Amino acid sequence: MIRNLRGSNPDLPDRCQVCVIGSGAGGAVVAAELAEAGFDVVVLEEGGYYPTSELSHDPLRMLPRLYRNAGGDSTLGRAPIMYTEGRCVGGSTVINAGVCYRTPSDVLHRWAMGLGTLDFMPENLAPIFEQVEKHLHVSPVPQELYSKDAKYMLEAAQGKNYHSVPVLRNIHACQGTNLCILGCPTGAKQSTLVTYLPRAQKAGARIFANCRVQKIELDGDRAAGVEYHELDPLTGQRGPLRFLQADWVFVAAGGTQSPSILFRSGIARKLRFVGKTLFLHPNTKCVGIFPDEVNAWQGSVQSFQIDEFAEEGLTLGATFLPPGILALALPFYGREVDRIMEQYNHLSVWGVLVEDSHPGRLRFSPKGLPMATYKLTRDDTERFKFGILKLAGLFFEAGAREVLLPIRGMEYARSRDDLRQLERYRLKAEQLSLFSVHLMGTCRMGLYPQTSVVDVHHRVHGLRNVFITDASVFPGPIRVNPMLTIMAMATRAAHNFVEYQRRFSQAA
Amino acid sequence: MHNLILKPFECRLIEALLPVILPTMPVHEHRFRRRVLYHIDRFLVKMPLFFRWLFHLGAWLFDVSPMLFLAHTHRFHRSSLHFRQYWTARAYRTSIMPLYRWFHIIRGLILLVYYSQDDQHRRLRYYPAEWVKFNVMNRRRKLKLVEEAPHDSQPSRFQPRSS
Repeated sequence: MIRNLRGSNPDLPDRCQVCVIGSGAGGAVVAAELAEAGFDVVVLEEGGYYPTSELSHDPLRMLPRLYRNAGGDSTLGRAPIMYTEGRCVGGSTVINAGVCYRTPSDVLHRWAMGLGTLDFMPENLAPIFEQVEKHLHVSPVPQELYSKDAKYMLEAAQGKNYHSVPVLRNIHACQGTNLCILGCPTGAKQSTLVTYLPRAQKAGARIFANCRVQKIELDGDRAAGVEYHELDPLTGQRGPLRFLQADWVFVAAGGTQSPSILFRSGIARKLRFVGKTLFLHPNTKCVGIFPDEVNAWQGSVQSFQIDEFAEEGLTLGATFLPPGILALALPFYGREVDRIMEQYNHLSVWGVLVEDSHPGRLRFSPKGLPMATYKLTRDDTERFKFGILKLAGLFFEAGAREVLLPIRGMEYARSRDDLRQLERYRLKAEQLSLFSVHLMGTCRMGLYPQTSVVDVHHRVHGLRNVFITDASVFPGPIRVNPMLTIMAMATRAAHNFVEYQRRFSQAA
Repeated sequence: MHNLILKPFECRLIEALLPVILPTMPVHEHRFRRRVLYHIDRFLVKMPLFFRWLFHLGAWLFDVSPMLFLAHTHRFHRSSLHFRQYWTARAYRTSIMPLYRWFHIIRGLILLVYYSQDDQHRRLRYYPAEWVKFNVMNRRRKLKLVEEAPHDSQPSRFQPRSS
């Protein structure tokens, strides 16, 4: 039973062996693996508990419940990038599209070289990937779930000889409800809410929702435990500060919250790289208006990806947004928004994701609230221009009569001539309307405390019993959706931890 | 103090070079080897810092460097240009940017609420409630789930709000 706390609760824990902060892709995996190895695990999750039976199609109902700040965060800098993070039991796995790609081999080779460990070589991580994929039912999206606009995109890509691959997703009997971003209402998406967390609970882990960790209490080079507040699920008001004593602390609170917890705990004073290297895979979307109805809401949210330009760090794909979210994402005002929204069933949203070449950083308020700053480089801006041109070209190939571009000052492309004009145009970063869902690298893994935050075993430099197991430990961007990488790395960290403890207890 | 922080590309360079330069010898076997390894490591970490300081020193001595290279020096921090840049950036961050963000948040909120209404959905011919209900039943039939699920006891979840 996951406890959704309401007010003061006598069941709240005050002692455990392992405290896991966060229940997303990193936290849930660690909780399940360690609970099954016999540890007494407590999971503290800031967000609420919303089982499948409470997930619905209504964005007004689901956005404030499942997303941090209702999905309205953005970076400062040129250009501002809107980003979203999950804040519920299951974390971002509840609200993502469920895309499961292994880390590309070239990225793993680079990490293995840089970190000086063979553990990250693709052949050594492959068994862990297989284990995670098996548990998540990772499989390609069946052809019958392709929405009509995805089929259009696939045909256009084939017409241009672009290489495309079916998207691998963690689905079990998916019906193509196309509401992944509001939580799967049929329970087909195998998020940690229906996979790892039940497994952890079965093995004895205790999971507490609505518990916000304030800081890790340090005692010399060890963590004594964590201080946390209970939150009122309705008002979000904080209850009194409580202390949970723990032998080991695993932080898996996500790309912005893990470094914030380190900052509030005073660890960032010693480790200067906390929050320093923020990679976020910025992406942008073009909207095509087709003469016939495409009804993009009937089918799978992402069916395939075009990886023709992977070497340039670009990935193209078809996606879907409900009307309310699409309207706020359009770069228009007033009647123009309504003119476009009236043709909702003729609209198709295709996106391009760029592997960022230069990091941003997180800054912290005195209370430890994170503020992301990010500046898009000239090179990345050019790659966005290239990606937008390719997307718009695909739209016209598929028969779209008009393409809405995410560029301020050049919002429409009604023919290929407009695209030729865009080719000659010197695009500035601040003209782009950007979005991100993959925040990573803010507590990067490395060999030295001067240049990183955690070592290759995910242990925070200088602390014996604090580990970080989420996307914030990535040494750099990975070009693909990070869920499977996070889970594989968390599994590896948990296995190493169990093995180390076993050997230690034998030696003692 | 911020000059002591390595730039990301320097870190990447060092971390990429270390396993190549350092031989894969058992570190803990011999005290001498460990000592040598330590000094190589320190040298590699410090080397870029040393060059950067040298560069700044040259820039300051000859007073010909572009502003970019002066940006970290003590002298620049005392200059009027830095003062102006600092206050412009601070005003932008503290007053203009939040206004801009609030404008977009309010605009987004209005559009989100307006286009999430059931009558708007009907106008746009978008029927998520029916579509989801249909799919939930389909999945249950496919998986042969016969016992009553929590989904069934809460039909209001997939009903339009107005009904």
